[in-house]
Formats: sequence, C-alpha cells, structure tokens
Amino acid sequence: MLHQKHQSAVPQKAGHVYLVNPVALVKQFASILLTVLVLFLAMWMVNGSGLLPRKSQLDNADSAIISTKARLATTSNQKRIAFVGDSSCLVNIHIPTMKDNGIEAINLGTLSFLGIDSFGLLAQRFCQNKPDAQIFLVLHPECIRMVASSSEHRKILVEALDQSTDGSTQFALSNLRRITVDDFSSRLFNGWLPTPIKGQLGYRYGFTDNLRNEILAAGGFMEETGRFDASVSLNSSEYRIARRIQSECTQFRSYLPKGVKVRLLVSPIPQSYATRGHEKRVLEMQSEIEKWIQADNPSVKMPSVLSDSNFGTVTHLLPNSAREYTRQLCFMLSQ
Amino acid sequence: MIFNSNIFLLFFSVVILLYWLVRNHQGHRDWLILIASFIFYGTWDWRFLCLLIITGWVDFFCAYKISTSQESTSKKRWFLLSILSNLGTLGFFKYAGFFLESAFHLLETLGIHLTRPVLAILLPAGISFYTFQALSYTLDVYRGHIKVETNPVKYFAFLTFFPQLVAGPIERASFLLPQFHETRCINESMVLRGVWFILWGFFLKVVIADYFAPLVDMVFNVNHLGGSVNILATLAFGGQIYGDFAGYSLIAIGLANTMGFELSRNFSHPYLASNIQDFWRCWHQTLSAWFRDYLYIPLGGDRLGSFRTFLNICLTFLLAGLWHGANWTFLLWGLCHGLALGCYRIWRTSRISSSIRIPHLVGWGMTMLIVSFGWLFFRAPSVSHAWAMIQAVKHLPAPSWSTDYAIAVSFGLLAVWVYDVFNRRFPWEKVIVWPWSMRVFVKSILLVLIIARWGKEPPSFIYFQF
Repeated sequence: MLHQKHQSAVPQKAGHVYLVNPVALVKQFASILLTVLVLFLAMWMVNGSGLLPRKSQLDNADSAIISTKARLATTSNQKRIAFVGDSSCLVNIHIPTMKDNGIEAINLGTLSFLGIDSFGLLAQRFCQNKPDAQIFLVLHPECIRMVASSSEHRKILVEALDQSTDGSTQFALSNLRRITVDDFSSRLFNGWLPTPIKGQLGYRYGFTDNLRNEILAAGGFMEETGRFDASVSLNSSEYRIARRIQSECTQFRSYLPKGVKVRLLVSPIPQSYATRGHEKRVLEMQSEIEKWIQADNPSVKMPSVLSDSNFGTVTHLLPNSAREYTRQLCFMLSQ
Repeated sequence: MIFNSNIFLLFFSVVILLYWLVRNHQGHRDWLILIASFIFYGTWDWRFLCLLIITGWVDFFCAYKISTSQESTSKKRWFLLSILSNLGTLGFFKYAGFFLESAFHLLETLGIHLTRPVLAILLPAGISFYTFQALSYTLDVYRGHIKVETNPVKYFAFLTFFPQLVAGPIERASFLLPQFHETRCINESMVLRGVWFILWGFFLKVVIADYFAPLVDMVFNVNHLGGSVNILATLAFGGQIYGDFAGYSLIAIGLANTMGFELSRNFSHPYLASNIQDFWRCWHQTLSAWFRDYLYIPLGGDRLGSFRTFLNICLTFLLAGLWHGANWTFLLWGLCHGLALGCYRIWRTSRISSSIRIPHLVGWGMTMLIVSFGWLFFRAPSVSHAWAMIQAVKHLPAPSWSTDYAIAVSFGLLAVWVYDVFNRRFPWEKVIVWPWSMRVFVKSILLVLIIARWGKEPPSFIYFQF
C-alpha cells in the first residue's frame, strides 16, 4: 500500500547514468593488465636468470622438514644408522636418547605424503659411500593404508636432494602464479624474512628456519606439540595394506645399494583407538612389507599399542614418551 | 561470501553487468541492489536473512507510524517499539549467553548453585552493523531530522546495501537513503577512484592483515610464551585489525563508487595520530560518530562540567566495547579507551596544557601505547588470558624464535606505516592529477601484490564476528 502511494507520486527516473568514455576506461584497465603481465614476465625472467638467490626451501613447514632431512641425509657422513619413514619416525625416534644409549644414528623421518619410494631416495642419499649402512624403515599403520602419496611433496624432496635441479622456470599456464610472483618473492626474501608456521607446530617452533635449526640440532627429531583426545571421532582403526605399498616398497629397495641392511618398524597407536587383534594384524602387515623391502632378520618387535597418555595424536608420541619408546628400541636392538 | 574470495569476484562481475542493463530505470536498479544484497547476505545463512527482513519491516513500519502519528505519546510508543525490536534482537543473539553466563557465575560466587542452561545461539553476520544503521534511521525520523521513507524497496536497499551490509561503514539514512532517490552519475573519476580504493582495500586485507594473522595467532592462541613476543604480538594485532577493517571499509567504499554511490570514510591513517582524541577521529569514524550523536551528546556531552564529561566518555566507550562483543575483554578495551580519552579531555581543558607542549613524537608514542594496550584485551580470548600474557612478559622465558618474530612483526609494521604515510601524502584528490602512467604503475604493483597473496581458502574479516 505504501509502495503504491509512493509510485504514483514519483515519476519514473533513470537509475544511473554513465558519464564515461568507454574507450578511455578500457584503455586504463587494459594498461593495468598489460603492466601486470609485463611485471609477471619480468619476474619469470629474473627467476630464470640466476640474478636472485635460490628459491627458499623454507616456504612452509612441510617444505622445511623435507629439505632439512635432505640436508641431513647428505651431510651425516659419520653415522651408519638411519631411520627413514613417515612423521611417526620424525617424532617418535629420539636421537639424543639413542646417543645416550651408545647408538649413533640419524632420524630421516619426514611425512607420510612423500610415499615409501621417496623415503628410499633419502635412504639412498644417506647410504652413498657407506656399504655398511643400516636403514630402519619406520611406518605407521595410517601410512600403510594411505591410498596415494603427493607428487608435490616428492618434487620438494627431489629439488632439495639435487640442488642443481630447479623446475621453477618451466612455463605452464596452470602454475603461472607459482613460477612468477611466488618464486620471485621466495627468492627476493630468501633468508631474511622468516616464515611463520601455522597451527600447533607454530606454537612450539615458531618459524620454518627455527624448525630447521632445531631438527638439525636434535639429529632429525621433532617434538609433537598436540595432545591426543580419544573423545574426538576418528577414522576406523581397521588397518590394511594399500595397493600402492607393494610397488613403492620394491622401488624403495631398488634405491639402496646391495649390502645395506634394511629393517622395518611399525609405529604404535593409542590403546583406546586399537581394535581387537591389532597386534596380530600389525605382525601380518609387517611380515608382508618385510618381504617386499627384503628386510634383514630378525624383525624389530616393538609394542604396537601404547596407552593414550603417551600420544599427541593418533600417529605421534609426546616427547617424553618418544624418549621412553626410543630407550626400549635401543634395548631391543642391543639384544 | 566474503570480498576476498573468487566467488565474490564472480558475483560482483555479474551484478555490475546487470547494473549496466538496468541503468534506465531507477525501480529496477533498486530491485537489483536489493536482490543482490539478499543473495550476498543469504549465502551466510538464509535464516538470518529472514531475521534481517523481519526486523527491517518492523523498523520500516514503526518509522512510518512515527511520521504519521499526530500525538507525541503515539510517536514515542512506535519509537520505543523500534528500539525494543532492534536492541531485543541484538540482545538475544549477541548478549543472552554472556549475561546468563555472568549471572550464573555471580550466583555461584555467592554460593547459589543452579543448573546452567545450554545456549547455542548462532550470531548472525554483521548484526551489530545493520542494527545500528536501522536504529539511526528510526531515531532520525523520530527526531524529525529526516523524512520517512515510504518505498520499502528503497528502504531495504539502503538497509542491506551489500558493500557495507556486514561490516560497515555504518551509514546514516540522511546520507545514504537520498542517494537511492537520485539518478546516480557514474563518471570516469568515480570509477577510477572506486578501483583505487578497492585495490588499496585488498592490499590492506590480503597483503597486510593476512600477513599478520599467523603471527598473531601463534602467540595469542596460547598463553605460555614469555618475553617480548607478547608485546610484539599485540603490536602485530594492531596492524592486523587495521589492515582487516580499513581494508574492508575501503573495498566497500570502492564497490559502492563503481555503482555510483558514496559511502562515508571510516579510517584516516589512525596510526599517525598524536593523541587519543585524534585517534578516535580517524578510527572507525562512522561508529564513533554514531555513539557521539546518539549516546554521548544525549547524555550531556561536554556541556555539564568536567566530571560529567569524563563519566559520559567512559560510559560511551564501555558501550562501544560491548557493541563489539559479549565478553569482558571488550568492556575492558572500552574502559581503557574511555579512561584515556577522559583523562586527555581533562588535561586539554586544564591550565597546565597551555603552558606545556608535548612533542608530537611523545604524543604519538603515548597514543600508540594506549591503543596497543587496548588491543591486548580486544584480541585475547578472556581477561585471564590477557592477564597471563601480561605476566608472562616478565616471568616466562622468550621462545627460541623471538628474534625471527621481531623481524617478521617489524617488517609488517613498517608496511603499515608506509601505507599510512603514503595515503596521507597522496589522497585521491592528489592522485587524480598524477600522470596517467604513474597511476597505472601503482595500481599494477598493488594488483601483483594482491595476486601474490590471494589465498585459496581466504581468511574471513575480523569484524564479521561483530
């Protein structure tokens, strides 16, 4: 009713008028876009020219962990034992405790996304000129059932292992932003602008360069910062071996020189999360994987289930528990 | 749908295209703005859209009744109904949980133990903003400052105008509503200014605010970190909230400009202010003006002596704090600013102030100290958390990464300072006379920086929670 009254009182008017010269406006916008493209091109060319420092490997926590492990694998000439594997290896194997127990080892554990074959690349680098090297492959049941690995993570590892490789200048429209501004800013600020780590890890380690320094100082060990909460709903804990594992294990073994000893260690899970028969299932999986990686005897027998209070997450032990777990491992290895 | 998302860019492109098609018909234009605003708001939660429409209709109807009522008691009744509707909605959705929780806490300290009811009330996006805009409309109609709007489409287009619906600027009906009655003129300068503001707005949000966000979170989300990082995190939050909110306001103004509408300025380089009064003239200007006109002045303003002025300022700021959120931290933030501004007013009107001249740098430093202290409470999840952070500065060791933290925060603060200085030195009025190539170059640099920081999962704006 109100609306009708108003409409009858006001004559129809235009909504708005454009007092613009369309050609001039298009020229303005086109010149902005053109300048942006020129800037992108310039950045791409500078990236490829070698004028700027190398692209930073500390852009994010994953990249920092992987590149640090690549560095450790390359520089640990005095060590003969290396632990490679997923993040359960990274946070469960406490190298200072190993040292206290007379075992000189290095932790090359990274992330499950890399895939077992990529763990082999790290192990291969570690084994260079070390015919007597011993490799422990540490896998969590979660990693064993993971359906796919990440090619992006593998690429980071390959680049980190081979400093001369730098695929950033390879042109592809789909990664236009990465090869121009991302790489440019990474190179420009490389080394002097710290990159913060998001989430729980950030509260403990702060920045990627600090994470790298602390991992290096601890022989490759990283602390878990969370706290396992059994009340939070999780995936099923019925574990099985994913289809990709067999070929990745074969690939893993093929990277290692003959004579290098390989042993497998399956990481524990929280008690409340484990289903009945978990221990038996782990032994079955262990025996299959050992076959594929041609593991040396005897098998490493560590507890596959621990009480919940030891865990930061389903896959990671808390620092104190990691020390205790490593102590047990040292005892077991000395038998 | 947030401004810094791909879906919004698509949405706005479609709206602008349709906007061009409806240029010859004002009614169609208003309908288009209304529908676009409803879609924009409805993407958060369509139920809240219903709430917005219902409270909007109540205000529309009350304002109509106020203007047509002959008797003052009848006018007052309709006015009170509108106030009740707005504040009741705001009170229920925003403050019910807080007041109930506080009441139960008080009873428990008195030894009375009752079963606490579980309240799970979702906060509608931007409720504080649109409620205040609606309130200002009925208040102005009641006071006779503006004529009542009889066209519901224009009224709702004003109330829900999507560029400023969720986080302001809080517009007065006397400023924005008449624009819906006019044939808006979109000239080249307006479009270019709009684009300039949009680019700077996105720069502030995605380059500055989102840069600070992880730095702030890594300290404020825990309270066991000691040393300087707590102080630096508070400074970083000052940068983050400025980038976030000033960025939003600039984008809103820019979007409105490209549609031929003018919105009020909300920020004028506040971190260059040399006293707390100056700061509040430059920070969230539309909210400051709202509280000044509808609360501080009706309370007596500065007309009733120094003590009443002091009290009025403190009360106004306490309520401004409460406006931000239902938490004691916001009340403390408001109190901190109220006390500071009250003391400043007493100082300024005293005889000593005329004989002692505070150097600009000292004034600036003191202002930043007060403002940053306020930000500590504003960002901390609880008063006890804020207090723990204050104590941790002295009693807990600094984390191993505190040097990195200092470098990262300093870099961000430098960027904020450069932004403020640049924009004070070169406001749009000066930029428009720059050579064409110069403007294009600056815009291109901004665009490259925005593209570099544009995220796949963009973080939301801080002020959306208010």
